[in-house]
Amino acid sequence: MKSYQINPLKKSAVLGATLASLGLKNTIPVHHGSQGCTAFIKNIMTQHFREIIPMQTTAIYNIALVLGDYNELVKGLSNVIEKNRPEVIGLITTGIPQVRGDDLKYMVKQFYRKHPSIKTEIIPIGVSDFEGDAETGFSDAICAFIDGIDFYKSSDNKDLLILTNFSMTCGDIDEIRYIVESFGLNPIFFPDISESLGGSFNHYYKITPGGFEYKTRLKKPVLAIGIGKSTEKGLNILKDKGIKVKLFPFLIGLKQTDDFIDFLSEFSNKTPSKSIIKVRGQLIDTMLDSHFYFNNKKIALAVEPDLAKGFYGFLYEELGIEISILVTTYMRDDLKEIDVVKYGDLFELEQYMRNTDLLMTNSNGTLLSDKYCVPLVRTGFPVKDEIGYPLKVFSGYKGSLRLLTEIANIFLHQEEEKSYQYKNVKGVKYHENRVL
Amino acid sequence: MSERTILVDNTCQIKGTKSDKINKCARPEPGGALGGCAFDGAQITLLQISDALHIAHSPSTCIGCSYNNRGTRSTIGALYRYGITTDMNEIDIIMGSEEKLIKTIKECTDIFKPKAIFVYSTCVADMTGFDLIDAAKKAQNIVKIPVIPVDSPGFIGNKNYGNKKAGEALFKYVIGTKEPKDTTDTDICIIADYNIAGELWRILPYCEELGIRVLSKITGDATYEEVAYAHRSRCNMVVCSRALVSLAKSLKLKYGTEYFEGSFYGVKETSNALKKIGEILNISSLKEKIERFVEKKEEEVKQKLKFFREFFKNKRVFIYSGGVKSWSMVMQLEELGFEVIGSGIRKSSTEDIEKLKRHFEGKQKILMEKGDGQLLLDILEKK
Repeated sequence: MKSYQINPLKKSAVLGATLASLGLKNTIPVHHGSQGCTAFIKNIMTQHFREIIPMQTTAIYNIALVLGDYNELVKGLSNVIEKNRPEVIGLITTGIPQVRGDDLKYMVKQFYRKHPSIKTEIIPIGVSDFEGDAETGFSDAICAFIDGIDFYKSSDNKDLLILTNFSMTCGDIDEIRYIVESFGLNPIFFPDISESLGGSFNHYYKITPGGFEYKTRLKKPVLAIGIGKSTEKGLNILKDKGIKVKLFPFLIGLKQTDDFIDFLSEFSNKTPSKSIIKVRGQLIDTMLDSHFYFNNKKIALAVEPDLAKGFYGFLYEELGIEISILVTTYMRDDLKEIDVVKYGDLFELEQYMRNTDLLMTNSNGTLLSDKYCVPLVRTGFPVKDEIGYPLKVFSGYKGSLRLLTEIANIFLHQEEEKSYQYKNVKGVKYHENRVL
Repeated sequence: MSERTILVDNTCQIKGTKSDKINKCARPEPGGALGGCAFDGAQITLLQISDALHIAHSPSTCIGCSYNNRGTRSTIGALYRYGITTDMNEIDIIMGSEEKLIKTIKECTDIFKPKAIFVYSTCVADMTGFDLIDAAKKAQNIVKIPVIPVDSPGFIGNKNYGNKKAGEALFKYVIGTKEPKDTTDTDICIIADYNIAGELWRILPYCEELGIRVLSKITGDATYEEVAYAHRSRCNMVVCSRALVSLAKSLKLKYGTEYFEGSFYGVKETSNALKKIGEILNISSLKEKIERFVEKKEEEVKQKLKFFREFFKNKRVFIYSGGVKSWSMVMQLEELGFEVIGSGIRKSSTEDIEKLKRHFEGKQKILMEKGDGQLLLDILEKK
């Protein structure tokens, strides 16, 4: 295994933690590090979401680095709070404070002592650049946030707390919200990027205009659901706080969604709504219609573990498309069972490209798809060259149906193209033949 | 590590008013900082040399979030779209990472067979006390191609400071190491144009038509070799002055090459730049040729723009851009018939701001040093 990365797929834990913090209402994430960390992440997120991304940095500077920068931190935080008036701040560490070993919790305590009038909640999130990936960073941030929440009992409560994972789009969250609401339950997503980064705002804002409303005391939900195995850590904390928990994989495909719907149906004592059953029927019908085109097709995948597991379950186990290689950013135990999984970078895919009909990865996959003339379905993060990606749905019956049609159409056209090229072999110019 | 100074550098000094002299490069404001770090700046300056490999000695963030994100175009190869990182982890931080870097350089050289390798240091690598220059020397002995250390950890300053550090690396290790096959009297070097969206390719035909040879470009669409013999140029034109004017000044000190700051934004500016090249090269036949060429082209463009100027009449524009575009775009838009009500001067050098002030003299114009979305919306509502 090579120790370096060429065209990395891995994004740092800092990016994951930042995205998780952005799923809260009235917040602005603050990075404790060099200003570049913030600039890079802000740049890439702005290109991905095409929205205003509130973000700030303590901008560690040469001398401050050597002396220890408690003062930078205090100044940075008070500047941010004064200018933007956020209700909650996720204070995220980057490489520098992690190497030096800053005690962030102590620093935040000192900050409150110095500024007793400030009511903003500051949650230190200790993630580092050099350990884990964006998905672990995302779940670490969730843990840091819910660790500080005190749940109190209330009698009439239909709240369902749903922990999301790094790879879920705004569209995914909205689809799951729709499903859960159809069972008469009240879903609360944590974090909820669909409300904060999902568009629909026509005014300028300095702090996130929507999302999970963070408070130190919250009503106890009847149940907490985690989507994706990376949320397990967060669920364990909630379990310790006496909340019933249930873990689901990424809800892509028939079986995964069936399990989810069955569970909700049992939990709420209600049968699924007509529209959900209808979409399920459509999905099965489309699977039947399209299965001809999946014969002998191979897909190369490069995404984060949760999404990888979801795609593998749907594409390989249910649709029967062969996966030539599945590159991921973090070797989790449940992925080790799959034999095509490899930890690595996008360069790793290169040797499989001649033997692949479709590539599924983020925008950086264009480097490979251009070179080998393989179609690219953009998934994961970042997707810089496609409008509306954050609103795309992958979850539930609806999302699976959408994904299925997207892939099936590519293969369908590929087959058709091939048939023209057979004629081309015999000396007939295929484009002339096609027009007439 | 080596002392962090640059030979000639006074571009950091920004005069706001007489009373407030601020050192813009030096200190980012915590909680109010915008823009990239020194590593970002160094990388974007050198990335365009695309027959060379660019390796960041960094954890995954520095490259993972930033590669394949530069709008530059190149005819030489696609290496500028590749991101390579040593992916430092905890063990590397504790046990040292020199071996890993050298191994990375060696293996990547085998894969890509580049002409040279640029190695960038980052915050985490620098904090471990890593000696980049020494490691680069060792690696160079193994791979037998130039390995250039770029001292650019993010915490030493902002993006602009990184541009300078990249210029410094070029000056110290690259420029002057090779000689061109032949030289002519009209050799020029275009400094700090990065061929964003292929803009340089629109200027090169003019030079060709006039018989001016662009010996090297630093660094838009450049090969490693042409940067290495840039010292043989007879006239240096600095396009984005804030970024690499220090390099031009250093080149003047060491090799005596005259330089000027110009821009290709707008008709007048392009004409001025071409005339200035003629002036510095000081060949009378060329000067005449340029004079005629400029006259012809200006008339041509004037005719073509006539139709559009009607539309743009009385339309008011505020420019919020940084660096050299603060003034160059003002001129360009005014030529198109717009009324420019002000310009942002973030990231602009002293020379940039003075130029703008001279242009705006006697008129009530907005010069915005720092700004965010709200301030821009305020301007929009007021007017």
